[in-house]
Amino acid sequence: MLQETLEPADLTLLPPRGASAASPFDDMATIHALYEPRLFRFLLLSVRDRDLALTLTQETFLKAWRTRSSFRGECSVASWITRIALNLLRSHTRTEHFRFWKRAAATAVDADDIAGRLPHNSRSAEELLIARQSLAQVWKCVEQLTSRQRTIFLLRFVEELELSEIAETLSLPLPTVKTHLYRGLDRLRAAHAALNTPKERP
Amino acid sequence: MNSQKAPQLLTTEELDALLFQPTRARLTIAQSDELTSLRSVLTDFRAASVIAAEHHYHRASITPTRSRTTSVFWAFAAAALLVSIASPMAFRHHPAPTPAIATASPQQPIPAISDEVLLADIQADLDASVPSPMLPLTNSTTTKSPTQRTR
Repeated sequence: MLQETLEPADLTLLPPRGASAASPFDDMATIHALYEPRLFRFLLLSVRDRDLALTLTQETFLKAWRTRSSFRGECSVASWITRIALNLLRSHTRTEHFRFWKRAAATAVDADDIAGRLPHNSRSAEELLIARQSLAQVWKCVEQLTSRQRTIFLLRFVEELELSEIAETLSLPLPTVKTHLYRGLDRLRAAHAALNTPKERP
Repeated sequence: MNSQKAPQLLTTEELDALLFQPTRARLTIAQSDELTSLRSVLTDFRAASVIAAEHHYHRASITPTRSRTTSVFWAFAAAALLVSIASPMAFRHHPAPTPAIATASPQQPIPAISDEVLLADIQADLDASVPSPMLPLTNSTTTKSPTQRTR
């Protein structure tokens, strides 16, 4: 794990000697400030634990800084950072340690936590209640997706990435991304339809 | 159209495409309802996720060392457990040299005795242990005395 919490100022370091072309990672503080909230959000929704998401976010930037020389500019900075985060996430979630702490963590994020933060948007109390119910159901549905489906779903519907960007980030063919996304969307669609179907009264 | 007989739903691909752009295609009522409903719930999901993530990010930033503190705590707990397991074993091995030190200390003030003195003592002991009737005769006059008495 990362030993210290990184601040953007800590990441402002001089480019390595011999670096001919200016790399976007030379200004790491800007990249950190620009992408950290987004990356944290994606990791929080993926692991559903605040501390773990923060640790993984910091590890992602640390790894990006250490391996910045391998960035060739073949993909966007966002895709490259997200790819690092996904690799860290994958290696972390493989362990039994994570599975145990996922159950026991005090900083875990649950459906109520998300549903409780739904903006009112001048909705009536009843509408808000229904919206929260639907939201909790989406959260539950996302939780039940496979890790790949969930990743693609979150990148699409929370981070609002294009399908081609998701394919680039995950290094997957576009049809594969579509297949995973549509399966996830189908499950959500079915769950949503079941919730909205009026129950017949006897 | 035929939407009144059986509601024709959008394909998932169509649905995904329509969720991200304003609806221009002609949709049936069922399709439009489903699209609106799903779009609404996904928009809510995104909005709530963004707000929750911001909230948790600020809370995590306030207490950034929490996970490290937890790991340090568990490291100390593991070390304490190891010490508690190892200490009885260490105490079990220690008593052996302790009595040796304790017995050695009173022997130190005993003065050194020379070999000659020791041999003299042994000789004296040996001499004392011989009963008086078995003592060697010193001279012949003493042996003749009884005969003189008889005379």
